[in-house]
Amino acid sequence: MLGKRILITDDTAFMRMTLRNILVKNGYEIAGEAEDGVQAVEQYMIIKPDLVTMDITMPNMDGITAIKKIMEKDPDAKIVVVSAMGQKALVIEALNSGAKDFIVKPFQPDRIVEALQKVIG
Amino acid sequence: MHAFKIDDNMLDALKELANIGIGNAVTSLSQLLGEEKINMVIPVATLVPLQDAPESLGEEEIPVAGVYIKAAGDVDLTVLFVLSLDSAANLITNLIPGTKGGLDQMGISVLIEVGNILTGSYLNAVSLMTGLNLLPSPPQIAVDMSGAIISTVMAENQLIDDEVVLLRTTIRTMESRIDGNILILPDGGALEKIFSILGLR
Repeated sequence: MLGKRILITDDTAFMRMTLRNILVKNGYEIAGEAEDGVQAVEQYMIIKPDLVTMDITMPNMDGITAIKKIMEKDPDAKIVVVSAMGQKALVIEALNSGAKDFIVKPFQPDRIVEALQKVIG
Repeated sequence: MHAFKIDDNMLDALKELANIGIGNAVTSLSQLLGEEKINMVIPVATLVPLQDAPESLGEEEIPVAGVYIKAAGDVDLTVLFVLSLDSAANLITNLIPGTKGGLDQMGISVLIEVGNILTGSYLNAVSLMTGLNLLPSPPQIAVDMSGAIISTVMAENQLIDDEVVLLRTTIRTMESRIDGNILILPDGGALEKIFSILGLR
């Protein structure tokens, strides 16, 4: 996992901090942080991270739309959803749009690490 | 008045739906706080005249922190999580140890995220039970008198019925000293759909 670069996307600073702490503690590098889907798409093209964590409910552009836009630009993009919304239809839509996993908040740190390791090692 | 009469059976059904949904939300809060036990008062469902709704939490003159999320989709409803400022501070210091619990940018962010998670858990449970798709908008936060916050939420909902259904519960944590109220305001169209799904209409 050493050297794997992550783009964190969430509209709340607290959740970005929480994810940042977990990822850094487990040896990942934080390549960037985005506050909404617009920033996530923009930063993805500049940073080219190994993986994106993506919230769903965000202002300006929601996570599902951002996933679709990123996948259009890079079909090999690795995106893991981290969201409070775990409704079945939404999970299916996220996975059909290209997300590799869907983590429902609140989560144990191990769940995040396990998901990332499965997707990018 | 609503387009149809809301009877005690209907209120009882809403209460049970709230009980299960809020129960799930409280479980999420418990996981977030690392606490084993959070007490939850069995939700009360009441039909309240529109003009009386702002008084529903009592103590209108005491400032509180309110996080509210509007969910749309198959039905529209708003979930409001209200905390005293002391409870808000305790919540913040619990989740970011070493801080003073002030309502700075990070403190506000904590409250918003907790509201987001609580609402998400509630909506996930209601969706599972009813088959309805409920998609939340990003949370809003307000620090004001409780009556003012409820008035704002109602104005944004553009409620046209002269009565509103309020579903209310109180939650209390033991270790972190957090008291909160959760209010759910379904709009009239939401009620008709929910009652239909539950076989009450």
